[in-house]
Amino acid sequence: MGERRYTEQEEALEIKSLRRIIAAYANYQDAAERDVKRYERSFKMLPPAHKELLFHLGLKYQRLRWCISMNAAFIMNMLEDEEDHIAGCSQPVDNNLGTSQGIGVSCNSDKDAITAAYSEDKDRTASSSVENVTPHHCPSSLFKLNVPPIDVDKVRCIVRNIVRDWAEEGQKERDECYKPILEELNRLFPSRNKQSTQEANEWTIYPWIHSNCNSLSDNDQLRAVKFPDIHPSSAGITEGFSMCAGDFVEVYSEESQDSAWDAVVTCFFLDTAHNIVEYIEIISKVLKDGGVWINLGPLLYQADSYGPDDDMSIELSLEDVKKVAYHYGFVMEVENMIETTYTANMRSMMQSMIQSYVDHVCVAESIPCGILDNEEEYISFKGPEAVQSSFSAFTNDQSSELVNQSKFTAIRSSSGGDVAAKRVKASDDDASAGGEDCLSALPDDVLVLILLCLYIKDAVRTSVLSRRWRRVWTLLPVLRFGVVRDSRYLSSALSASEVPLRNLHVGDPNAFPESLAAWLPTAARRVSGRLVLVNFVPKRRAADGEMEESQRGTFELPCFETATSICLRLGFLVLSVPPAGVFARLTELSLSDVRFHFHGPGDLGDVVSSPRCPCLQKLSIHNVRGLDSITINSESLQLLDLKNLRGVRQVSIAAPALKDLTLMCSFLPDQKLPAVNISAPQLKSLKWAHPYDPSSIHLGSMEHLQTLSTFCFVYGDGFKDNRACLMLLSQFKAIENLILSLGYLPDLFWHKTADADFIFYVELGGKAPTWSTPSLYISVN
Amino acid sequence: MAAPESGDGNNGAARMVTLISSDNTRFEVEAAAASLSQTLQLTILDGGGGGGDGIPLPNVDSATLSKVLEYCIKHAPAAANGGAPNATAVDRAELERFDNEFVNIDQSVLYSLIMAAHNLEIEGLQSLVAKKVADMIKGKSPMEIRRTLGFPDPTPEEQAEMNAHMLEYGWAYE
Repeated sequence: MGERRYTEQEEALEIKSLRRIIAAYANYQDAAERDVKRYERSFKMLPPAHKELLFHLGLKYQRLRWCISMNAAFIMNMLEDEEDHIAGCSQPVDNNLGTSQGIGVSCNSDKDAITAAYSEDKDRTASSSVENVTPHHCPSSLFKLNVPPIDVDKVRCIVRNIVRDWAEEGQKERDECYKPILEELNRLFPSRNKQSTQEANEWTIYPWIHSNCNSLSDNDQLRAVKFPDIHPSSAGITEGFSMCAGDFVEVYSEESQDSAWDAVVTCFFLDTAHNIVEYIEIISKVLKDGGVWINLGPLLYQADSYGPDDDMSIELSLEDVKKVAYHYGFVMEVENMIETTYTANMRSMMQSMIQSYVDHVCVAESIPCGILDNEEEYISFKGPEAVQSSFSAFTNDQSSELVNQSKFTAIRSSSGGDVAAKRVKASDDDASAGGEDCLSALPDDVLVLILLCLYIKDAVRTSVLSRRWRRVWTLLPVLRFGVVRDSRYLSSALSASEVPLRNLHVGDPNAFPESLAAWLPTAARRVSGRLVLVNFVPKRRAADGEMEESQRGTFELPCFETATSICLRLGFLVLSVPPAGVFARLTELSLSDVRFHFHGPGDLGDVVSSPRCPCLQKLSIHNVRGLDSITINSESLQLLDLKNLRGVRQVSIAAPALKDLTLMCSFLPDQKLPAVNISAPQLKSLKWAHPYDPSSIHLGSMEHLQTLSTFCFVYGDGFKDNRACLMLLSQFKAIENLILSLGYLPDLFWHKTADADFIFYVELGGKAPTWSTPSLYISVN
Repeated sequence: MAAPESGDGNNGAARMVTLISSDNTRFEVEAAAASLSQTLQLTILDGGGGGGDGIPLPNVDSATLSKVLEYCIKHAPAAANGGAPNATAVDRAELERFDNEFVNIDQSVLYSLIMAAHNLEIEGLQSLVAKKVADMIKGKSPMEIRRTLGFPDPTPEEQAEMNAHMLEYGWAYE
């Protein structure tokens, strides 16, 4: 980036760190060889009979060596290219991935320390066993010293990263992470340059050889991965594409970068910061007014495990990150959770899942109403992937729950970047000639279709066109109010007509009982489909002082007689349910972050039971306070998901049609176990992450159960809870699928706390008929 | 996306149907492409539109129909795969590029397209054009919206009505 001159000291540091990197790469083969030697030593120690049984391992180690040398050859080729850059060779380089011809190396050995080091043993070949790709030289000997184990791991991690970003095998991960980002970008910048691509599998690496753990077969471990799956220079990615190596803070805090970008996308990046606030500040600065920030990634702060002790590392929870973003003018639009992996070996028996939290954020003035197609956006903690999140909640309650989740954020403002271009078009003659007539000739439902693509504010603004248009927006069957600053908007917009609403989506960052009371009754009358209400902020309040929101009074949910789906995330507002009325069409209800009054007028269990919710099929209740007991009698319920019902003393469920039940961490750890009575004879899937004691918990008969998910701790304090797990398992004679989440408490898992926050899912085949065998499959470091 | 029954697509590789525009121009097109239109799909499934008969479309003129068919032909292969769940990234990118180019046209054509897509019930085309028109409105001030959409400047009477409205829905104009 431009003009900045570096001091000698800075340059020396640069060179030093570059050296460390090169040394790590150059050390790859030796380090891997040491591992193989270690395997061989272990093998030699086997008694002869065992050796005979495993004689093929000797062959495997030879194959491993071959794979290692292939990987090393690739790494050396990569270094050669890099060397050209370092040595200042003018030879053009297509790109690192695309060039296989050994580029003529013309290092000036006196130029600087690095090239000198390279030249030392230029002629040594890395491995003679490699036939197809012969490395031209190995810049290694000087660098071999002092490669810390962490660097060895990093190189291996890079090799896996290549799979993630460049190989076909990484497509799933890329789809999971990049797709939401690209879809968001496409939505916001539909006319970006996009070009087609062509295939080119030029390179082969063996990324999975370094771990013997959880391999289903040796061939899986030794399998080759070809890349790149598309040729970068043919993909059009290179056009208008530039890379900038350097520290994000340093590069983008330059003045020339201010307001220079329409969009900033960060993926698995935020948690690399020493000072995350600085990152966010810079992102806000480099964005134009109305710019967009899309973020996806976990908050898995790096510095704690790797850096020296005095390294600065500000490690914020998701909630605080949002707060900081808000401070710099970003406003949340939608948030969501995605599930993904990071450089995972697909064929490993053990899969670490990262549960990602997805946030859409918009800048204050804009109220999105139209195009978001993902109806599920506001519903987090949903579905099977929630196993992990609630595990965290069990050990550390809510704060850690958020830290472990990755985050996806999209931030936008109302003034689009394309306004200028459109203005030009407005002055076109033909536009002003027939525009009005043609447009007004369209029937209402077509005009509604157009307005559905707009934010509610823009839709209302079309009223200025004519009298007719003043009516069109009120016909909208979908109203999405992203973040509402002032709930008077809601009353005003909702009472403009009586058209049934297929979808009403409200993000209210500061809902008060009174403001909700002003518009919810109107909403109850109009919503014929789905209502989503998210109260964003008060999670923080809930953490800080739980008294505050109860002082804000009680908010009464009106009876939604026509709605089919209701999702409320209330930020711990106190909710009271209506004492009478039937939710006649409701099939899906999701309540989270809710507080109840002990002596409220209605009873939640009564409301969701059959007489008053005759069609209810899916019910989830998460993060609830003040619920003393809940009794559900439902003929229709098929899916029930209860998580974190803090302080509850009694749970009774009678649901003859129930197929899927989740019960997690519903009680304080030190609290006396509540009485649980479940009658669900048709149950197919049970997720149970909660202490189990047969004296207070009665599960009834579950003859049709196919899948049981539960967890046990592998190390640490939670170990005593495993007894409960075993007791639960002993309740079932046979089961098709057991999903056992293995919990590793932080600090005990390897030496890398980085991995400790994850739960490892071990899927134990589909066939284990009894409980004695599955444990054999569990194989963990 | 209006996906034709896959059985229909396999049934004779390139069954053709004839469509007749309001100004009596005949268009011969593959049944699979025409079937993107929900309206036409029913007729075609019944065996209509073949041979010399043709399906008259009294609401669509030839200029618009040729544009509509351009869209249908391009999108038919993907739709035949049931909304293209297994389309490659290349195909998807190509379709997107096509779509972007496709709606880069005069407003009057755009409006006749959305009308035709509506009458013929071509879901993908309807939303494509709707989104294009919406983009022309997005983030603009009241006067900019009027001008962009080709509305003349308001008469004093209209202006008064506008003002009253803007007062009532002030939040939308902040």
